[in-house]
Amino acid sequence: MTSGPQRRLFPRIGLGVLEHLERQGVAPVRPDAEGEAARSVGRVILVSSTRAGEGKSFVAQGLAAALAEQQDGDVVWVDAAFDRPPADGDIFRRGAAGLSEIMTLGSLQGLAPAGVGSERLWRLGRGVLAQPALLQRPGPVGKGLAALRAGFALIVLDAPSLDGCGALLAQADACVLVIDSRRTSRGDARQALAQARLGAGRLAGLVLNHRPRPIPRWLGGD
Amino acid sequence: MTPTAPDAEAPGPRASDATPRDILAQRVIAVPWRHAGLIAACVLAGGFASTAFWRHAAPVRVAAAKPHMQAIQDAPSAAAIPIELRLDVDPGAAGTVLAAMQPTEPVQASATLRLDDISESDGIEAALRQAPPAGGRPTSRSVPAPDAERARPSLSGLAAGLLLGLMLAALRELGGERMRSAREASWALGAPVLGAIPTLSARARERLLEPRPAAPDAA
Repeated sequence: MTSGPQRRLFPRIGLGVLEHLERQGVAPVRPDAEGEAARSVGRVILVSSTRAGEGKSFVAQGLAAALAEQQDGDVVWVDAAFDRPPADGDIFRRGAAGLSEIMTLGSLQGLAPAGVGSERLWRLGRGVLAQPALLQRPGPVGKGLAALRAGFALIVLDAPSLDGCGALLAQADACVLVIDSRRTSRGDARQALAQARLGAGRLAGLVLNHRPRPIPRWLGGD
Repeated sequence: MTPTAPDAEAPGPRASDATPRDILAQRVIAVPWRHAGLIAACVLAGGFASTAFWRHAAPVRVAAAKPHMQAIQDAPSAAAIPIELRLDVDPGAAGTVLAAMQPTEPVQASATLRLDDISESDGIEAALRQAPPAGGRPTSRSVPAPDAERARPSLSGLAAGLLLGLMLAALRELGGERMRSAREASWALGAPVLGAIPTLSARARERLLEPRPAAPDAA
């Protein structure tokens, strides 16, 4: 059973991301916008971590669901973690086209992201052409993201760890870094951020996963 | 798309302004707070271990002390004790045993009285004072305890367990560079923490990701 505070986890993270996009001047465009705004494109939010297995997919899915409820545009969760095998039970693992095909073809044409729960939430698998090296090439990455930006207000990328993100990092509007409090050390995280050259302007914030028992405020806790 | 410059005055989550001292203080507080279970387990283990140790160790001492105790108990009068002492009892050991047995058993009280009588009457008092304590062992430990007392965990065992628990907890909490709180993560990486997710069961995670029922229209 999930408690109230747990239910508010992802909405809070979603609000933080939306506020960050607002501050950066890249807030998602309302679907009923006209004129210049209507030609604006969707915003790409990259969910990454310093190493694999820190909870990116969980955070990315929860964040996408929260964002779909918090704003009016369509949101798509995209499996871009080309560095690891698809999870068991992934409906996209059986040869369905996905992000890698969009990166290759440059179009969403013929692809149908699956609707998930909310009518504004969609899901797109990695596709059969997924290779880690594909993410290192700015051309295909730009092509794929451009196609997604044209179709969705917000794109939540379930990305590889920072060192495997390649061109995704440079082209995303915001990055959410997931940190496993049991595994990630300060040094590793700082080094990964420095190598990624992800400035504070595009780092929307951190999500601490596997948080230990919190210290109450009256004892000097958070 | 060209992102505009960030608005420094805009509200929103901010990186923590905590100092290293704050972080250290938080970690120290977290030692007993987060690891109370571990510390309690160590205290219990210490108590249990001490109980088990004394339970096994005491019979050995009982066997060693039995001849002396038997001699004292069997003595028909105070005058018999010097004889027993001369024959097979080290005076220092007998004195120690008698003195230590005083608080618990009735026979000890009478033995002590008799010893007092003896010490007043002849030169055995001097012999008892000059004789080394029995084997140099602490008096309280050289005396066999009754079963009920032996089954009780000793304070030293509990204290040792507490110390061990605190050390293990401190090692887990203070050791390493892991980021153990939102404030610490924010301080270390200079970015705001948007959320902190506790360790959840697979079922709880699934529930969190389940689509929520649509809110009823406010008609």
